[in-house]
Amino acid sequence: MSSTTTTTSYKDLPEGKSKKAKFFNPPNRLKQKVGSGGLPKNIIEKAQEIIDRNNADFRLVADPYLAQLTGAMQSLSEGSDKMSNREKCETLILPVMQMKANGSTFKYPVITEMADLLVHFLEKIDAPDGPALEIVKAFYASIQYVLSHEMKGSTDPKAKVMIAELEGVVSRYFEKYPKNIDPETAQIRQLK
Amino acid sequence: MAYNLKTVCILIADDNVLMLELLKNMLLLFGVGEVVTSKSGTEAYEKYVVYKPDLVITDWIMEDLDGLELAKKIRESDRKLNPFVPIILMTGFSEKRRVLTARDSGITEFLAKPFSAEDLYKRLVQIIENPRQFVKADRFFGPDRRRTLGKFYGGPFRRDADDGKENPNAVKRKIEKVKDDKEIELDMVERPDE
Repeated sequence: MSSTTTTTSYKDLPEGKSKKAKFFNPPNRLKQKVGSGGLPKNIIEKAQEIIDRNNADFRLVADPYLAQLTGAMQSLSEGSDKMSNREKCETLILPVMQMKANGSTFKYPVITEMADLLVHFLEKIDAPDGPALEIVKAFYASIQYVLSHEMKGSTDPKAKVMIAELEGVVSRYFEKYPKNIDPETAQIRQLK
Repeated sequence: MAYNLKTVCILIADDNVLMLELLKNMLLLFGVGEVVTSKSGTEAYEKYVVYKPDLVITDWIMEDLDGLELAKKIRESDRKLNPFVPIILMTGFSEKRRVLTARDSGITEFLAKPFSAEDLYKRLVQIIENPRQFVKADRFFGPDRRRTLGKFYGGPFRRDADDGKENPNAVKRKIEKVKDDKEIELDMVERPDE
């Protein structure tokens, strides 16, 4: 158990004066404990081997997210007026983001790449309309294909073709439906 | 000399058990003395109270209490806990608005998933060597959301002021360039309460 003790809690701290922030420089306990010098390179390499050599079955991770995505696609296809457009997109984004986050770690960088592309698409659109849902279905089918054919690693030429196709589909969508861009995203782009 | 992490306690929270196990093994290999694991945000907070870790690493999306709620709970806790504990948030999100939301909940650093051992190590070094000061304002308590720009190399604009005169446009371009490069790290929104 850590020996770190603290005498202050958040509410004991003094308030900032009228609209002004109060700044604190707490003692750097971690630095005091660990000292200096960093870690040797070979330790970092060995830690990387833990990721590279893990043989966990990515299906176990991906299946619940694929099921979640199927459910979300189905519910949106049937039409749901209870949710805002952003909330609708969110139901699709969450399981896809999880696949993006975990794919590479479990030997499926192709899935990370595909899911990343889909997350960006879903973050950008204003509403998951029919054509957008068709695109989600295309991504879903591609991810399923990659999994069922165990296309691990990042060098599979078939996977590269699939990713290029999916990129094409997304850019064609925005050419055809330029107005279906989330206003917040559009505003950020305009500011840039 | 190298870091001695034997006396360090790190709490990690992720509802993905496989990821939890990987991360734990990596931290143990780094030499961390104690790694406490939690499969949910609620469990993580309970363990936080008991173990008083030196660092918290949490996933964002978890069912009962997510990583942002956990961070807020830790920062705002009434108990005599360490409200300054560094918190690293792991997430697959990288869009700016998500990053800003997370930053405003009191997290210290981001660790984008999927990550490498090097990425994890760099976040640890950042926290150990460059800790952020803390801010308490009307609606926020947590690590300072701004980073100091400091001296920077202006890249293609470096010769704009070679004549010794200050060129306001060049300075503006430099700042814009740095903002583009480091948008995740910089404070991009107005903070009227600070």
